[in-house]
Amino acid sequence: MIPIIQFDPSSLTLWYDTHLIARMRGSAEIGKALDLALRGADAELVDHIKSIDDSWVSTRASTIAVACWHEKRHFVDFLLTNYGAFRMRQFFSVYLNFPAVISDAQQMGELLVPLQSYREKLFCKHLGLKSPTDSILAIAKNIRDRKKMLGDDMHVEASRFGDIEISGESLLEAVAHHIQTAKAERVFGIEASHLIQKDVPENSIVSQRYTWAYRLLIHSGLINSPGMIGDGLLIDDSPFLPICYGALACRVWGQQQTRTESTSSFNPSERFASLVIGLRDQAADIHKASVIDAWEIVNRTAKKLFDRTIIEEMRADIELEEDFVTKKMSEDFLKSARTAYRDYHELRVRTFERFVEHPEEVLDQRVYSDSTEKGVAPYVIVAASSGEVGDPPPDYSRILGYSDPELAAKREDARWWWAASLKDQNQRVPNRKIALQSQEVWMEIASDLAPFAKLIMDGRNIRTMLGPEIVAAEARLRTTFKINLVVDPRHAYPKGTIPSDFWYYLTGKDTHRCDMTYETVTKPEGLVVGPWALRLRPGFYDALRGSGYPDTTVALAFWRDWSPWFFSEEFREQFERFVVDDTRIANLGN
Amino acid sequence: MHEEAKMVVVVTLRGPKEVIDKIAELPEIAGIELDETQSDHSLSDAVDSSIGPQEFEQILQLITVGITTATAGVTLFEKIRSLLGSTEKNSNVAVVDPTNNKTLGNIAADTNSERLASGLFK
Repeated sequence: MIPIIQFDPSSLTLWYDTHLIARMRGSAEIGKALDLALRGADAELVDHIKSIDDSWVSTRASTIAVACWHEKRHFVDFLLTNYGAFRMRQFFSVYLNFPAVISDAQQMGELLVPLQSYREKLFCKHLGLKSPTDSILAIAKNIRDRKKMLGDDMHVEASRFGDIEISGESLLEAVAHHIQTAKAERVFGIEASHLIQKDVPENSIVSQRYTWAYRLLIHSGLINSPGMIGDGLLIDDSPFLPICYGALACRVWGQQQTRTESTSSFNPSERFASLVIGLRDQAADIHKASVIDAWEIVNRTAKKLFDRTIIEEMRADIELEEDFVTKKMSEDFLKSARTAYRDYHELRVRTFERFVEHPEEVLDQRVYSDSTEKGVAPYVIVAASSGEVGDPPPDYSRILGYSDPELAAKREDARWWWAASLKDQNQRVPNRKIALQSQEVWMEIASDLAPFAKLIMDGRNIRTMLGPEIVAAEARLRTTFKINLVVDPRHAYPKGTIPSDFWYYLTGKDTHRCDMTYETVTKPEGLVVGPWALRLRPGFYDALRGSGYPDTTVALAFWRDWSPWFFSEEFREQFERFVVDDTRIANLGN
Repeated sequence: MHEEAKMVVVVTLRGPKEVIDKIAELPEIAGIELDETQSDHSLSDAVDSSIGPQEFEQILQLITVGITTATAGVTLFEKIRSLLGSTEKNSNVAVVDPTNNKTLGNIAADTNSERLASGLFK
């Protein structure tokens, strides 16, 4: 699928793709709805939606606003929960070690990514790679262990509603989905909320991804469901967020775990299962409890199961983080990473102390939707996946872009940006209550450190809004740091295809022009090709170069445009004849 | 795929986590060398988007294997077939050339292990 709006945990930033929104019917109205949702201007948002005549556009504008609330909630949960902090830490462990990795790689003369592949001696020998230093091996082990922990936490279970995944990741999704649905009902009303819930490309995926926790908790007798309203499920949701938060309060600093045959304090999926079992004999009480009472019950149960209440578990995690930030984060580590981590930790402490006194502000969807949500303000980055020629607007800073060292002075199309952020968001964004303070270092992380960390953690095999961030990180390692970068071929590019019906869903249009032949293509025909898939067929690029346009123009356009391309059925046949060859991905366009 | 001077064929097996974990725990097989298992899962993905969420992906894992003879390969593949038979789902394990990620074959319940192993040594 194609990300339009997403939360990037590597920089705690919210990204949206303005070029993809521009492809939608009613893009101006949709863009305005997004802006209002980002600013927490609920009343203005409602007025705006009411002013839209086209019902598809008004629903899509509402859907985008709701998606924004979903992503903003991820920001809160990455800040407050132990699991979110664990996911953050994985990036900081790489950022902090950036100078050491560069220096070791320069000493070795080469660097294999993802680093975890260095753990495979047979593989490294087979590829004739140089031996890594001990510190590179230690970082590789850290990455491998974290992946293993996340893998062990993911349990896919068959159910009568299809496969469901129980994990920290899916709990984060369940929480964010609950908030978006609840807030949609409160802001737009129940009818509009149902329309928004149906404004999805494929209902079954949404059901598996987001509603599994309701079904499981109803089935376990912990959540009461008075029935259906239309085809929507009604639930008494008071215990829902308290149970999810109890599961996300995992113990992941290498501490002693509390375990029995049926319970474990360790990862979110085990904690979730433990709480479901442990809470069963209090089902009657938790059904009729308020959110605060349900939170008390979950805390008491956790104390019985894990020897710690949820609050104690969260406090212990924050104290360990405090110890790391104040005592172990030495000056050998990268300064910008240290500053960002301190900023994160300080906000976490402030948010936690408030949470202890007022848990309803986070766990009661009514209070969160009506009040807390409006003050949640992650830094926002605007992406332009097709590449916007020139510089960003004057009040924006470039996060990711390209300026050709030789051609930029001569040609307008030799300089562009893919991502930019509004300057001085601390001052210009109103009502920033749950918000970081050091915009400059977070933007440095988004532009420089995060792409590098992604590359060394996963190679190129990641889902990211902008492919160029990875390719640019590669280029920087090769040219600035003179490191011979070897991408493990097994992690050479992200997999995944884009069904053409998703493109019709996304744009709200029934016809599109083929990007190659310019013929009109009617729903459901056509082929959507993602940016990586385009670059996997270098023959396609060669054919473009032979199409009569000047070579430089083609090269710049191809390198700039990382949006999906749309082809007619006729051109599909031609395109699919080009042979897949991933060896030229990083060099295409040069 | 590249055959070294000692005729060691090195391939990566990519399959469901539960199967690859069990391959790593197999008792020693003469002529087979096993590497450390690695996750095929990304750690740095952005969080899922509520517009156009990702479908569930099976959790895959990798293990690289050195095979010195076709006979050793047959023994390994038969053991993997047996492991696949004991899993609930209709899974398979891909045999991949680690130098270019090309799939050389698949091990499934109905795979002819001899044909697959001898193909690797051609």
